[in-house]
Amino acid sequence: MASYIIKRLLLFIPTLLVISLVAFGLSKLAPDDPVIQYLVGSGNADANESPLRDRTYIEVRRKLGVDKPVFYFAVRPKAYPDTLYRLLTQQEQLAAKKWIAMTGDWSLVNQYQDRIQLSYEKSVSIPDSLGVESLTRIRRRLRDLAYVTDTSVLRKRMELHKVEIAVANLETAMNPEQDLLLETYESLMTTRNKKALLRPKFVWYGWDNQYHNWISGLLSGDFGYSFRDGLPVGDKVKHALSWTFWLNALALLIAYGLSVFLGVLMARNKGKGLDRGLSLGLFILYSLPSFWIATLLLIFFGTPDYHIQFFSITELSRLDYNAPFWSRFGTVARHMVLPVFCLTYVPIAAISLQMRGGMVEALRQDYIRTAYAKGLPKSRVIWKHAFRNGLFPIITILGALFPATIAGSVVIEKIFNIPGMGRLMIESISEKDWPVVYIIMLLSALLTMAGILISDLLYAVADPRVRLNKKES
Amino acid sequence: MKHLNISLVLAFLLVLVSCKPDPAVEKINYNRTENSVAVRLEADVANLNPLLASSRYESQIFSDLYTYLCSYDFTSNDFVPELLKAVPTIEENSEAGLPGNYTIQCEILDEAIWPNGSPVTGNDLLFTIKALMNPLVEAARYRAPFGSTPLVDIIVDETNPKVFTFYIEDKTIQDLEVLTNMLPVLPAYLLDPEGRMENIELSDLLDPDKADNLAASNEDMQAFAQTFMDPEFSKDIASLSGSGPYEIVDWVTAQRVTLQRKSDWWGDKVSKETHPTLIAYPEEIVFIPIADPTAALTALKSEEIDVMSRVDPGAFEALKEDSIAGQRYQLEAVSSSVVYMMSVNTNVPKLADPLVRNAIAHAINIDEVLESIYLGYGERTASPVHPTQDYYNGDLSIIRQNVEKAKALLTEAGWEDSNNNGIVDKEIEGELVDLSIELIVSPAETAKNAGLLYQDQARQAGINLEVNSLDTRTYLSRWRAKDFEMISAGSTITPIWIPLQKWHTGSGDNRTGFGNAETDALIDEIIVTLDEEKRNELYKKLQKDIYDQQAWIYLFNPRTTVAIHNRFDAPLLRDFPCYAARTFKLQEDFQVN
Repeated sequence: MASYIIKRLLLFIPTLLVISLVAFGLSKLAPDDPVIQYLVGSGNADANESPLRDRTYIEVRRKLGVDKPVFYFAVRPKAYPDTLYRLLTQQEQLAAKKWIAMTGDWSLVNQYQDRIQLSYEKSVSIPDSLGVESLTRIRRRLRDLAYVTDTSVLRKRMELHKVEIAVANLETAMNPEQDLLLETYESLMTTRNKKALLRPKFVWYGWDNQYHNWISGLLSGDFGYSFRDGLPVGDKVKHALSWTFWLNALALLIAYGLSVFLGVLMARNKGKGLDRGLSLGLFILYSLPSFWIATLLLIFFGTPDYHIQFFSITELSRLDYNAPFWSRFGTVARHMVLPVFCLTYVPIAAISLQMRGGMVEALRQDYIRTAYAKGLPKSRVIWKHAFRNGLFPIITILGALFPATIAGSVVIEKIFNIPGMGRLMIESISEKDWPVVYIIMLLSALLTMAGILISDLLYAVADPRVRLNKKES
Repeated sequence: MKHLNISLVLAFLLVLVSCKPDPAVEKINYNRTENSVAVRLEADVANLNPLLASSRYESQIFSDLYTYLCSYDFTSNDFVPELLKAVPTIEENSEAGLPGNYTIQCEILDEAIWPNGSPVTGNDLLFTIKALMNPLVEAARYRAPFGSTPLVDIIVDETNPKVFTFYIEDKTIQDLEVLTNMLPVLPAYLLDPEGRMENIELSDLLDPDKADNLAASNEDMQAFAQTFMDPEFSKDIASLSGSGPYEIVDWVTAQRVTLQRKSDWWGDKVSKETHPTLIAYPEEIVFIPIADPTAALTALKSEEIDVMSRVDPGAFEALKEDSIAGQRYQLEAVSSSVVYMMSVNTNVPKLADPLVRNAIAHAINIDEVLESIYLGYGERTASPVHPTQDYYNGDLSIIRQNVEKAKALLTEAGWEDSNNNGIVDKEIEGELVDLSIELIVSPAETAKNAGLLYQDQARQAGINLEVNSLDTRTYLSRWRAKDFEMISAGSTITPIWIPLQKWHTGSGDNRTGFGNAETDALIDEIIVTLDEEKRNELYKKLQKDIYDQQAWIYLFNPRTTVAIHNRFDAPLLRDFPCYAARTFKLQEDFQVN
C-alpha cells in the first residue's frame, strides 16, 4: 500500500507539470496585455497615457516578468526574430507579428516601426504656430499608425497623411523623417518574402524565461501578483482557502455521515413507504437549486421579518479573534449552519441514493443469503457483510466531490458573505485577474488528483479483493 | 398517517412563509444604539497606503486616518484649511535667487501632531511629494497631475519648519487644489525611518529625465520604493498611522477594518469655525465588505450596518415600504457629483460629422430611460458641469427625443436608407456603410437595460445601436485605447472644472477626438484665468461648444441612494459615497452620559 501511495504521489508530478503548462499556455492566450491589466487594477492605467515609452509600463513589465521570452525554446519561421518579446507593448508585438507574416522581412518591419516613431517625434518638435489643428491630427495619426496592420486601412491613412502634410505646408518641417517613412512604407506594401516564412527555425532561450520563472515561483511559494490589487496571490489564496476548507470539510463530513445512514436505511426498507418517501424527498432536495434555497434561508433566518432570525450576515466580519476559543467556535458555528446546510443537502441527496443502490445490489448477493441462512443477526449481515460492498458507488463520487467543493462554494460564499475561495474565484474571473484564476485552477487540479487517490485507497480498504500495486499471478 | 405527515410539513412551510407582523402595531426598538458606525463596503480593502491605494473604498478609509493641507467643507463644499492655518494664496515671487515666478506660502497649525507627539511639519509634506515623485513608486495616477503643475521646488523654513513655500513657474486654476488637496500629508518618521529620501532633491525628482536616471542609479530611492511598496508594509497597522482623527485598531482581510477615534486628537483643540472639516463624532467606524447586494440589504434590514449607499433603485423603493428598514433608516436620494453620458468617437469616419452625433442625441429618449430604469432618480443635464455649479450654462436646452428632427439631421448629413433595410446608409471612402454603431456599456444590469432601450429608440430614426456589455477591465481597456464607437459611461464632477485633459486636442486623455484650434485656445485661456467671473463666462462658452459638437452626449446627473441609521444626524455630501462616516453625530436620545 505504501509503495502504491508513493508511486501515485510521484505520478502527481508529471500530471501537475502538464496542467501547469496548460494553465500557463492559457494565460498567454488571454487577449489582454497583462501590464495594462495590472495598471488598470492599481489605478495607474489612465495616467500611463503614452505606453510606447512609458517608464511605469516598463517597471510593471519587469515586475510581472513579461519582459522575458515565454518558454525555454520556440520553433518558428526563420523570418521572425528571436527577440520579438523585447518589443515594449503587447500591441506592438502583435502588429510586428502580423507585418512579418505578410512581408517575411523583420528588418523592414523594424525599420518601419522606428521611422513612425521618429516621424512622431519630429511632429512633436514642430512648433504649434505652424498649424496646431493639422499638427494635432498628424501627431494623433502617427501615434496610431504603428498598430494598423490592415493594408487597405493603412493605404487610406497614408494618403490622408500625405495630403494633410501637403495642405498644411509642413513638408519641409516634417522632412527628412517623413520621406524616409514613406519610402519604408512603400517597401512594406510591396515586399513579400514567402520563403523566409516557410523555413522553420529552432531557438533556445535558456532558463531565464517566463514559464521557468513562474513554475519556480510556484514551487517556492511565490505565486505572483494579483492584477486586481497588486497583492501577492499566495496571501489572497491562503486566507480564502482556510474558510473554504472548513466550510467544505464540514459539509462533506455531514453529507457522508448522513447519506450512509439514510442509504442503508432505505435499502433495508426497500420498496416500503419509508424508502419511497425518503427517495421522493431526496429527489426533491436534489432538484432545488442551492442559490435559491440560500437566498430563501437568508431572508427567513437573516432578517427580523419573520421573527425567526438567528443568522447574522456580518457575524463573521465582526469575529473577535482574541475571544476565548469556545466563544469564537460558537460564533463561527452559528454562521456556518445555513451555508453548510446549503452545501450539504444536494450531496446528501446524491450520495444517499447512490448508497441505497449500492446496498440494494449488495443485499441481493448470494453470500448475504448465506449469512442470513447461517442465522446471523440482520444488523451484523448489513454492517459487516453488505456495507463494505455497498460503499463502492459513494467512494467513486468522492473523487468528483473534492474539486466540486470549490465550484459549489461560489454562490454560497457570495450570498452568505464568506470570504472564501468561491468568492475569490468569482471576483477574480469577473475582474480578469488571471494570476489568481490560474492558481485556483491548479488547486482544483490538485484536489481532483487527491480525490481520485483517496477513492482508490478507499476501494482497497472497502474491498480486500482490490490489491493495489500487486500484479495478479 | 403518511398523508398527514406531508400535510403537516406543507402547513408548517405555509406558516413560515406567510407570518409577517402587522407593521402598525410594531414599536421601534433599535438594535443598535452605540456611537459606532458600521459602513458597508462594496468591495474588499486591499491597500490603505494613500499613494498606492487605488479604489475609492480605500480612499474612503484613509481619509479618516490622514489629513490634507486643505479640503472641501462637508456641507458648504467651500475650500477650507484643514492642516494649514488658512487657505494660502498665490503671490508673485519677490525674492531674488529663489526659483519660480510665483509662491504659495503655507503654515501648518501649531496643534497638528503625529501619533508619537512630534509636530506635523513642512518636512513631512516634502517627504510626501518626494515619495510620490519617486518613479519607482507605483503612483503614476497621482504623479501625472502633480507633474503637470508648474511646481519647481518646496522650501521649508529652517527656523520654523511648520512654515513652507511652494515655488511655481506659472499660475493656473488647478495649482492650489492639486498642491494642497490631492494628497494627504504622510509621516516621514514612520514611512521613511532611515531618511532615505531626505538627501534626494525635489527639483531633481520633478524633472522626469533626472528622476529616471536617479531611479536607475540611486540605491536609497530603490530601497525606499521596495520597502514602501511591500504589501506587508501597506497592511501594517502601525505604519498606517497619520494625523487624522482615527487609527486602525483591527484589519482582517476581506472581513473588516476597524477604526478607533484617538482619545487626544489634536483636531479637537482647533476651532470648527475656521476648520470645519476637523470633525470626528463616532468613537468607532467599522468598514465591512459585503459584495453581494442581497446580502447587504439583509444586513441593513437586520440593523447590522448603519450606512449603505448606491442601493439599487428598485430595492430602494422597496426599502421605503419596508416596515422595519423604512422606520429605522433615513432613506435619501442625493444629487451626486456624477454625470452619465455617451462618449462618441469622432475619429470613426461615420461618426465624424456633428450632424450625425446630434441626430443620435435626438433619436434616443433619455427621459424614458431615467424614468423606467433609474425610477426617476436623476435630473437631466446638457453639460459636464453640475447644474448647481455657478458656471453651469443654463442656456443649453435639454435635448428631448425628436425622431423627426433626428431623421432630418441625418438626411442633411447625407444619410438615407437607400437599400431599404431600415438603417440609414452613406457612401464613405467608396463603400456603402450602414449607420450601425457599437454601443459599449458596463456590466451593470441598469447599464445593460438602458443600452437595450436606447437601441429600440434609435432604431426609429434608422440608427442601429449594437449594445455590447463588457466586463470592467475590457471596458476600461477599450476606452483607454480609444477602441470604441460609442461608450456609455459615468464621470465624476470635480469642484473645479479642468477641461484640459478630456477636451484639449493635445491631451492623450481626449478619447473622443473632440476639439479644434478654437476650443483649444479657449481651454488654454480658462486654465490661466484666475478671475472667477471671467472664467465662468469662458466655461459657459466651452460648454456651448461641447453641446454643439455632441462628441459627449450628456444624459443625466444620477441621484445616489443612501440609507443611514436613524440614530445619527448626518450631512449628505455630493461626492461618492455621499456621506462621511466621521460626520455622523449620535442624536441626544441615544447618548449615554
